[in-house]
Amino acid sequence: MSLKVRIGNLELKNPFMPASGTFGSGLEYEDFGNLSELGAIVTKGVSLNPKIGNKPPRICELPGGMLNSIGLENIGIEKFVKVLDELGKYETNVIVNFFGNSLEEYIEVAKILDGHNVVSCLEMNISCPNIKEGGMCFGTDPNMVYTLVKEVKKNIQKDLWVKLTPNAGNLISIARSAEDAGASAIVIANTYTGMKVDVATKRPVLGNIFGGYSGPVIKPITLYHVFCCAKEINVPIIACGGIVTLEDALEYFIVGASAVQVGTANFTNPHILWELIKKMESYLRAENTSLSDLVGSLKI
Amino acid sequence: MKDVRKINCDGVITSRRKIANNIYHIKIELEERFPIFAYGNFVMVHLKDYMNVLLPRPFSIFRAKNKILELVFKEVGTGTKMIATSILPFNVRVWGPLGNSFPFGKDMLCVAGGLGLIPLYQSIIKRNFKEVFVGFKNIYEAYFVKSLQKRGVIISSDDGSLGERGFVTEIFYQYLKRTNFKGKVVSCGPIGFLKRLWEIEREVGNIETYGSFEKHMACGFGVCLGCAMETPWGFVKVCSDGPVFRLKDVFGE
Ligand SMILES: Cc1cc2nc3c(=O)[nH]c(=O)nc-3n(C[C@H](O)[C@H](O)[C@H](O)COP(=O)(O)OP(=O)(O)OC[C@H]3O[C@@H](n4cnc5c(N)ncnc54)[C@H](O)[C@@H]3O)c2cc1C
Ligand SMILES: Cc1cc2nc3c(=O)[nH]c(=O)nc-3n(C[C@H](O)[C@H](O)[C@H](O)COP(=O)(O)O)c2cc1C
Ligand code: FES
Repeated sequence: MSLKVRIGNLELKNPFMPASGTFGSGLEYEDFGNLSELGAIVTKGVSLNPKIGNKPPRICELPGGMLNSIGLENIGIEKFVKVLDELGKYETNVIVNFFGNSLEEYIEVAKILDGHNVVSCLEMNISCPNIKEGGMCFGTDPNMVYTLVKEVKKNIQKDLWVKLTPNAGNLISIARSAEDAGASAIVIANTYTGMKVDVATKRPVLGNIFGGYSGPVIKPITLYHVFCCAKEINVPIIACGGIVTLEDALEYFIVGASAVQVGTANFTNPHILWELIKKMESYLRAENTSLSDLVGSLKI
Repeated sequence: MKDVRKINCDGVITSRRKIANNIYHIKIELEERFPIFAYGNFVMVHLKDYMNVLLPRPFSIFRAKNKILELVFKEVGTGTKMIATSILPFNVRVWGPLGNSFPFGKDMLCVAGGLGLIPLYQSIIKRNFKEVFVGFKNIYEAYFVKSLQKRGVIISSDDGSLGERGFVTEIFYQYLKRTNFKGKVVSCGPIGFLKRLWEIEREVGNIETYGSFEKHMACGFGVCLGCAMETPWGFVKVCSDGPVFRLKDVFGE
């Protein structure tokens, strides 16, 4: 049974890949499995200039999930390019997640990545504040998303995936804007903003006060977003949120996702992606079906 | 330690022994042979059958031979309570060895406070140090006392219920003043203990103190950036830049 899937101009050998920020550059996982076996490697978000990240504590565990306020810490595009050179030895797609705080920053990083031969395609994180618009998040306004995607796309040749923030509420109009502006795929979704208070000290647990909620608890909510968007848009959807088991991934395929990303679960088992790929192969064989038959097979 | 092989496999906790108040020694039977490791390395342990403890927990490697990994831990919260009280056998997933290690050398001193003894214990037993100072809160939280005594370790307790009375850092400080020791010191203990050791290094000069630090971790090998620790020179990752740091590089001027 073939696990191959086409997303825009890319062919993936299987629909499983890590979620940005939970897999480092990928190289950190060399000890745990052969990176060439993954559908793609998705690297930690990179920006034009290095970012030092937020004040600790940066993570907080909650039942079934975790809050993180890493603050998009990264070494900046200039240094990151050297890491990319190393990733070139793997026979899989390298998807680079990137972000900015202004349209110009987004465009500049995108151009550099577009010119690098190891990069298969770009994944744009739009969950960032737009400094020029008083810090309003790019990803919550359909018009801002349209302009951002359009302008970035104008400057690059490679495919552009747009990763939505679920904090936008109504993701359908955002996904449509991204599609209309030229996105090759929509990634649904990033983390849900949340917080935790220590009642003994009456202080927020995270140094940054709030953070992004991820892990198994968010799956039903993100699944619903994927379900809603799949009916309305034509480009492939890549689902991301709370996947731990094969059943979680299957649910996403059934509601219409063409591929999936695994985030927090990489921390609970560094080998999880490889295990999911194996289980998926067995599942398709046992059910005598194909991935393409599975995608969007929801019966209502 | 980049070329050290890491394993990531299932294991079963097959034995658990209480060795002091709330402190347990466990043996984990792994599916694979545990690789060569260095003193100070740690493992991540995931309680894979319990959804309410989502993230893995870091533990120092106490001892490992073939497929048996031994850990010593204190019950402090949800995860460690689970390991301390669940019916055996108990399923886990383990990955490691992770992190850097203590410096190695001749004529070093060793200072450990409470649970800080764990990553240093095997090295102490092998008599790798010129002098060893181990402090416990009180006699009830003390463990491995006899074998430490046999190796001439200077044992103390905060309340005087075992060995010399007083904080281990102060007993170490008196020793430095008496002997004018010059050289390396390795240490592990709570954050206040490490801060005091840095004050001592600054005051006496001539010593280089290394300590093992702790932060909440999610991955244990440098990808989540959750274990960031603030230093005067920016953030460091405790799991992969450490857990062992020269105290000067963490607290320094
Ligand atoms: C490199 C390293 C090596 C360690 N080695 C050992 C060891 O050999 N034996 C041992 O008993 N413990 C060790 N620890 C500490 C151990 O990881 C924590 O005690 C454990 O994670 C607590 O889990 P819990 O679910 O019981 O506690 P939680 O319910 O998560 O928390 C209970 C309390 O413990 C504190 N805590 C939780 N995790 C940590 C952490 N990683 N560091 C500091 N405080 C924490 C919390 O702030 C809280 O006060 C080590 C930590 C690190 C970073
Ligand atoms: C520690 C951590 C760091 C993350 N960093 C990024 C990032 O740099 N860029 C990004 O687009 N998403 C980032 N995310 C979000 C994840 O890629 C993913 O969208 C989210 O965690 C939901 O998936 P999950 O429930 O499987 O973890 C991060 C998540 C975590 C937990
Ligand atoms: S624990 Fe994940 S980077 Fe250190």
